[in-house]
Amino acid sequence: MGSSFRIPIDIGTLPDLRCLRLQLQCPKSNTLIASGHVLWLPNSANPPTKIEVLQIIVDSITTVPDSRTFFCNGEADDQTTWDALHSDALREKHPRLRKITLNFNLEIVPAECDDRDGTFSLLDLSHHLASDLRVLLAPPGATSRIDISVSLDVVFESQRLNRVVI
Amino acid sequence: MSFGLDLPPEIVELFIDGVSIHLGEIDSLRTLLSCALVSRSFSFPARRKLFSVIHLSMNPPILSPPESRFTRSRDSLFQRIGSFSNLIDARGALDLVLLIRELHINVDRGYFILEQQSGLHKILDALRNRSKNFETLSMSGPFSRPFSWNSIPTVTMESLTETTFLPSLRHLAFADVEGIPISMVINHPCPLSLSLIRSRFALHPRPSESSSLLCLKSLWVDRYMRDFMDRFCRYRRNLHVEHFKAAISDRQDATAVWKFIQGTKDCLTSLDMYVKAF
Repeated sequence: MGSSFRIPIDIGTLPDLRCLRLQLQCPKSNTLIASGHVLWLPNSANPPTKIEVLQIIVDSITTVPDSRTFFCNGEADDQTTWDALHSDALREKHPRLRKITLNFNLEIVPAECDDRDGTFSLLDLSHHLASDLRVLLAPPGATSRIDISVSLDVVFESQRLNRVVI
Repeated sequence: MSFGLDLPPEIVELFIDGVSIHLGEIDSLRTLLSCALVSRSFSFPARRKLFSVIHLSMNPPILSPPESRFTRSRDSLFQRIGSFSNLIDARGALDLVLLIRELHINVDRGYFILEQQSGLHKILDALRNRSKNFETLSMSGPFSRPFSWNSIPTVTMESLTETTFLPSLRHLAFADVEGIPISMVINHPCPLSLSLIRSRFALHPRPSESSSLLCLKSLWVDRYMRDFMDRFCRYRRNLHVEHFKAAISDRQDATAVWKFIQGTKDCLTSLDMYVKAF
């Protein structure tokens, strides 16, 4: 998994915890990493918690500004971790969960984009990523009625003003 | 022209709030200064906004005009602090000290602001003696060169220490400060929010353990979590913390965070973890 050390925390033992906020700073990667030991925390709760609000913030850097490549070629462990963040799966561990917020901050190394044929659009990429991220949390067929909010901030590494926020 | 004189107070408040939200720091300051002279109905809300948050720093605001974007000299800093001190001491119809809610002290590389000649202690003394609304005290040292609490001249240190005992104080924040006396926190009469960014408490050779409950409304420890456990939690086991935020950069940090959480788990309602995953 992405993280090189375990986070030995069992949030299931915190009887009055209502709000959990995880902010993850990832190394440069061409795929969506999950750093399983961190994002696995909400799934590892035992017994079920009283958590009502879960906020996840991911700061990531990539050289591949392609939504499908970014999402599909990750390691199996990372995929398993994201799967465990499905709203239905989370509801089992956190019966009172009513709101999930995912803030995804993606920094793109621009050198990789310069080789493209001019069709690259930061806005298109952002829309695809936002859509894919939303599906990660609430896949088609999800039954739980949890308020899911996904926000995305895509920026070129050396052009921080060229920013798209969704 | 009497436009604005008869506006309802709620509208004036909205306008004043909007000035600081929608304008940059410098434009906001200029506009609020003008508002303070418009009419009586504008004067108090504008002054309250102007004086509610005070930053004392060698550096001008980030969005200053290019011609004033330079670090102030020691003399200039002392002059500005002196002028501000005189202003809040000149008691007119409105005691400006009562408007101050937050004081942010940005310690420069030369630690000039901490010198007795800077007059910082006079501002702190005014707050301590007359303020009833002072809620937040923050101190930040130079990023690459944390300053030691023991290096603060005696007069300034005493004023700082006594200011932290104000019953109205709710937020205490340190960034890049070494050797903070543990007594500043454990002797505070009311629940506190404590923030330690790259900062550590002093080592206590033989501190007295206490079994009384220490209530920290919220606690934020960024870096040095292990030192926090060793230097603070070892002697204050009975902690009540509702909101806990920690930065984790290695296995030892993670272990220390978990150890801390276990000690206060019954009252923890909000947990915020910032993890560097590499």
